[in-house]
Amino acid sequence: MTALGIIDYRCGNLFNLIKALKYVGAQECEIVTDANAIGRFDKLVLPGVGSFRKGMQNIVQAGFDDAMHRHVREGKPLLGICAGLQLLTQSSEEFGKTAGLGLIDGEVVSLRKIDNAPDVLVPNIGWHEVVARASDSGSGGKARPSSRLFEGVEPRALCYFSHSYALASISEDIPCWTTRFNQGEFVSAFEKDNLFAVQFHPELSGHTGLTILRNYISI
Amino acid sequence: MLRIIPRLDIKGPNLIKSISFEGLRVLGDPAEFAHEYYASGADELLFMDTVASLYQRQQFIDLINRVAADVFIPIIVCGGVRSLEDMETMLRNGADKIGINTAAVATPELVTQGAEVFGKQCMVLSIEAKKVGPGKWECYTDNGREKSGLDAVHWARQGEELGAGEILVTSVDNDGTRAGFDEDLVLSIRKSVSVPVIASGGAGKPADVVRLYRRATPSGVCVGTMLHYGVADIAALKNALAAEGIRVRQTLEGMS
Repeated sequence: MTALGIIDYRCGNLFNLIKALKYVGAQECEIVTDANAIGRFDKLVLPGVGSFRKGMQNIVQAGFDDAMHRHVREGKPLLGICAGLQLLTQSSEEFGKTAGLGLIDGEVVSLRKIDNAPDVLVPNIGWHEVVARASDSGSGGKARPSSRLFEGVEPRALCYFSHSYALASISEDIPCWTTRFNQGEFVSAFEKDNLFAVQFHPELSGHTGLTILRNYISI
Repeated sequence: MLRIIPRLDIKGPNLIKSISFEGLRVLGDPAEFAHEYYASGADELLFMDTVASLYQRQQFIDLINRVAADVFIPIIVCGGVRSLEDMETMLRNGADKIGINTAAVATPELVTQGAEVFGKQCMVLSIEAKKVGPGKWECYTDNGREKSGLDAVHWARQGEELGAGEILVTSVDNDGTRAGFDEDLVLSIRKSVSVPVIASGGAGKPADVVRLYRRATPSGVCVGTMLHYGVADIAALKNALAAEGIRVRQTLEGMS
């Protein structure tokens, strides 16, 4: 079993995430508060709820940005969850434009930009289908056979979301999953080499979420 | 997709159920009920500390902690949360969302502060409303005992402005009666806010949930009595909803 670090940059409560990771067998998971310690971990999780700007400030202040870039450059796995997915991108328009970690191309926008119908509810809270992007699977709606994160997860699996911003789109050559938001859609997961990310909360998504976490720790 | 949320009213060590917030029947160990509901496909769980007295608080916190250990769906905790510290305590013991009623009425800024520190999606404004006239409801605090003078629909809108990410609305009149939801109340609040609304109070049979959804399209419904007394289990409720064309999450849980 490899050492798994959960980055704590003081944005959100880690109790339920750690509990779920331990449940699926990550006995050696540890909270990381010191950026200098990141080198000790084979695998990282970047969780998070709340504001992109505050999250990014805390990450930079603690020196986690450079440490995470180094980790990813060395080819080690990193999983961003919820706001953690958003922070991997280049920027977010939350509270004016804020630069992200830039580990993946893309911009985070308000859900109201994805669909601004008058009856749209934000935050987007609840269970939604996560569907492999058609261009990836060729057969529409099936999880990619080569996906490491979604192995054993049924196509169109339901996962629990809770967010007000989302990654609108991502380069065609990156395997990704999308989720409908009224008439629009956003990127709900992607997998690029050793970089993994999910917009939903696997730790709150029942059996499906546990399968995804189990897949991640066994990569 | 409509969320089905078992609601567990807690007094001391017990799961209880009252009728219109009065009298009560002790039903058993809440953790047992909670695990059964998780295993049978609940989308979320709601725990309400009906007493919220300081000297019994630790027991409630321990209960949440014990339930959360092997439940992997969101947990909403309501009752007795008076400060940011109280919120943090609940979050550190397994809660995902915090519902506040009495403390929000007394100190509305608490909703805003909670949203700033823990995120909007964590803050649920809990409204316990009694009908006072046609199309008018008053908010009650302290588990239905005290009048607040606040109009429920107005307070819901204000709650959204303060930073609440969801509104939980309970009809005190209908709660525990199995007479169906106060559909007008849910509809009025649903129309006045643009955050998700969870409806609570009165579900006696699956058809009550169908009727409410058709009329008011809440994002979630709480069910207590119907499940606790075994009128319908979650699978039967969801099957009944799906048969009426209402989208629900149908999946086998607890298989891992």
